[in-house]
Amino acid sequence: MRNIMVKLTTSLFAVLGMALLVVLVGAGEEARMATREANFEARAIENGAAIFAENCAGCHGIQGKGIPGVAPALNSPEFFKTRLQEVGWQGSLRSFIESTVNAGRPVGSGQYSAKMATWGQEYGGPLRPDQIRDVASFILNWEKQYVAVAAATPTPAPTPTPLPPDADPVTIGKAVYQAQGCAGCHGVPYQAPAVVGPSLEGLANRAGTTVAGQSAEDYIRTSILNPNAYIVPQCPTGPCQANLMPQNYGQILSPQELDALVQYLLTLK
Amino acid sequence: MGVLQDVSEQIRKDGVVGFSLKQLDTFITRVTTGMNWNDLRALARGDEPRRPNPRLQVHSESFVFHIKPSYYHESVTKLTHTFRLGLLSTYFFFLEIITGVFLMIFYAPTPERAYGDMLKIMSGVPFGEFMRDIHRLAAEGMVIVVTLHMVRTFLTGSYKKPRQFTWLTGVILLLATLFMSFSGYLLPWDQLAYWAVTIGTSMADKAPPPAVGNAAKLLLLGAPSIGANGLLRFYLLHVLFVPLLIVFVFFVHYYKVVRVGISLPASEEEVGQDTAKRVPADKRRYYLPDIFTDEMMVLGVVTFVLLAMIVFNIYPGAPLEHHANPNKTPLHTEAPWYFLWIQGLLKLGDPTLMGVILPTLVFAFLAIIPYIDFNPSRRAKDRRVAISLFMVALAGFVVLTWMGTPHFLVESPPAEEVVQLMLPEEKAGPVRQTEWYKLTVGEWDTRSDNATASFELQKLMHHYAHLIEEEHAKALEKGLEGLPNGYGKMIIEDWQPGLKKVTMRVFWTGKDGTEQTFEKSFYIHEEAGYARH
Repeated sequence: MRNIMVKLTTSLFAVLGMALLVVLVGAGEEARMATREANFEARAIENGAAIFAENCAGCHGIQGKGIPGVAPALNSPEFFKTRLQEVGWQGSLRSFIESTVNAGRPVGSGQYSAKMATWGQEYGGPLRPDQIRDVASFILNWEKQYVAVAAATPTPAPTPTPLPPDADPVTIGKAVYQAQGCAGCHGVPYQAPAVVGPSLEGLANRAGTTVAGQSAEDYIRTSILNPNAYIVPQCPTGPCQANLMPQNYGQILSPQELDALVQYLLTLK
Repeated sequence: MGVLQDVSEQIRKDGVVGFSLKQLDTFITRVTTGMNWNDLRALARGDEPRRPNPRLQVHSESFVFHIKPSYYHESVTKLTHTFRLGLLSTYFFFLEIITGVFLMIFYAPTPERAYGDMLKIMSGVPFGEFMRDIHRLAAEGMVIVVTLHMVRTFLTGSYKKPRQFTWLTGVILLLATLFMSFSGYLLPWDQLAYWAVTIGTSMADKAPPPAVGNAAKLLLLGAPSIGANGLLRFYLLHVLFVPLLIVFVFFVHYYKVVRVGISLPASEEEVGQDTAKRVPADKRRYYLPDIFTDEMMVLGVVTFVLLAMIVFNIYPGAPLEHHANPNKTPLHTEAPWYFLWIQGLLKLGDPTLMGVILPTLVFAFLAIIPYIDFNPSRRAKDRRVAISLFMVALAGFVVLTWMGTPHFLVESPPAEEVVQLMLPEEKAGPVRQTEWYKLTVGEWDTRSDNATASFELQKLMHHYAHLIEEEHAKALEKGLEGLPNGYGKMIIEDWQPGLKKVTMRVFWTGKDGTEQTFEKSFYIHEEAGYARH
C-alpha cells in the first residue's frame, strides 16, 4: 500500500480513540470504585449470612436473637450500644466480633454457661479469615435496623408475623417455637436438623411412653418447664447434658403460649 | 571558550530561530539514528528516499529496528497473506507484560491475601478493573491469535523446508502461551480458579508411570493438593519462568523468520527454494515506511477495538467467583474454553490415556509435522491428505470442545439443576438479575398464579415452572425418572436490612410414590450489583 498518509492518519485516529476511551474510563472511575466497594460489601454480607446460618444460628438463634442460657443476642440494640463497654473492649465492634469468632470464648460467663468454640482456622477452627470478616459484616448489618428507626428514610426492618388472636393453637405454638429460638438447638422439625438439643421429629409418638406414668402432654409440658426432670440419652453431638436448656420458660412464656407450644409439639408425628 | 564562540558565531549567521531549528534537526537526526526532518516528511508522504538511503541506516543503528528486516518481498506484505498474526501474537505478549506488571503491584500470591487483593484491585485501584479486563481479554486474544497463526502456517504449507525448525519453536510458543493462560487462571484464588486448576493438575498426577505423575504433581504444587505452595509456584511460573522462556524462544523463532524470510505464496515459490531471501530489487518493499506504517495501523486498530470491547461491555469482564473453597465442589467445573477439548477427552475414558497420553501425542505430532511431511508441494491441490487431516482435526476439536461442556455426559439431579439455573452458586442467574425490590416477600408456588407477587417475580415463577418441565424432559430422554408431578416453591423472606433470604424448593413424586424435595437457600443483598452486570 503506497498511501502512507492514510495509514498514518488511521493510526493517529486509533491512538486518539484509545486516549478518549481511557479518559472515559478515568472519568467514571471514582463512581465505579464506590459502586464496586458497595457490591463487595453486600456480597460479604450475603456470604456472612450463609456462614451464620450454618455455624452460628445454632447457639445465637436463626435471627441472632440469642438463646437464653446458651448464647447472647447479637441482633439487639444493646449489642451495638453497650456491649463494648460491658466487656471493656478498646477496639471497634468489628474487631471485637472478629476476634471473638476467631479465638472463641473459653469461659462461659454469667447466664451463658456454654463456651464458644474457636472458629478461626488460626485457632484450629473451620473458618478462613475472609469468612470471619464476612460473618462480622453480616452481624454488623443488623445495626442498620436500629439506626433506621431514627433515620429519615428507614429501611423496612424484618417484621415478625403478628399472631392473630383467634388463630389455631398449633399455629400460635409454631410461632412461639420460632420466636423463642427453640430452633436454635432443636432445629426446625422436618426442615432443619437439630444442632445441640435432641431432635423433636416424631416427638408426639414417643412422648407418651418416655417417662412411665406421664401422658404425652404432661411429658412435653414438664420438659419445657423443668428440662432437667428427664434427660434424653442421645443428642446430635453425643449424650445430652443437664442444665443446657434454660430453666426459666415458666416465667418467659404466658400460660396461653405454653399451651399452644405443647399443642404444636404434639403434632410432630 | 571555543564552543561558546562557535555558538555565538552561528547565531549571528543564522539568527536565533534558524539556529534553534538547526539544533532541533540535529536532535531529530540523532533520535531517529540518521533521518532528519525532511527525511521524516518524505517518509510520511511516501516520497522516494534520498541517496544514500537514510532509512536503511536506522536498521543498522537502532536495536529495535535491527531486529526487523529492512525490506520484504512484495508478495508477503499483503494483509491477507499473513494477517499479521505473528506480529499480533508478539504484541499481545507485550500488552500482557504491561498490564501484568500493573496488576502485580497490587497482588500478593498467598491464600490469605490473593482473593482480597483481587477485590481491592477491582474496587480500590483506579483503572484496576480496566487493567484486569485488558489482561484477561488480551490473554484470550493471544491464545486465539497464536492458534490462528499456526493454522495459517499449516494451510499455506509454510512449515516446509527450510522452515521446519521455525514451526517447531512455534509449537513450543503455543504450549507456553497455553501454560501462561492456565497458570494465570489460578492467581485470583476464586472457586473458578481453584477447581479448574484442580482438574488440570490432577492430569499431571495421571502421567504414567504413577511415580512420575506423582512427582510431577508434587513438583508443580509443592503439596498433594493446591495450597499456599501451589499458588506461589504458579505465580512464579506465570510472572517469571514462562515469560522468560517465551522471550527466549520467541527470539529463536523470529531470528529464523528473518533469516529465511516469510514464505511467498505457494504459486511463486517451490519448497526448498530460497526466493524469500533473495528478493529482486523491483520486488522489494521497504520496512520504512511501508511495513512500519502497516504495522502501526494494525496494532492501533486492534488495540482500539480491544479497549472499546471492554469500555462498552461487549466483553463481559474478567470473572471473579467466590473465594476458593476446597470443601465445596461446584456443581459443574468447566475448564477454560481453550482446554474444553481436553475435558471432553477426559469424559471418554481412562484419564491417563485421554488426559495425558493423547494430548501429549497431539502436541508431539504437531511439533514433528514438518519432519514427517515429505510432500514436496505447498499448493493446496497437491496437499489433499494434509488439508483433509486438518479438517478432521478441526471437526474433532469442535466436537470435543462441546463434549467438554456440562451439556455432555454430566448427570446431576434434575432438581439441583433447576435450582442452579435459577440461582447459580456463582454468576448472577435470573433471580439475582431481577431488581431486588421486585422480589416480593412471600411463599410463591409455580402451580398458582402468584397474583400478589410483582410482575417480574411472576415472570420468574413462569421461568421456574418452565425449567422444571425442561429438566424433567431432559432426564426422561436420558432414561432417568426426572421430576414427575414436579413443581417449585420460592420462599422470599426479609432477613436483615437490605438482605433477603430466598429458599428454592423443588418437589416431585419419587419412585415409591412419595413426595420428594430438594431445597437450597440463598441470601441476596440489594447492593450486590448482579442486576447491573
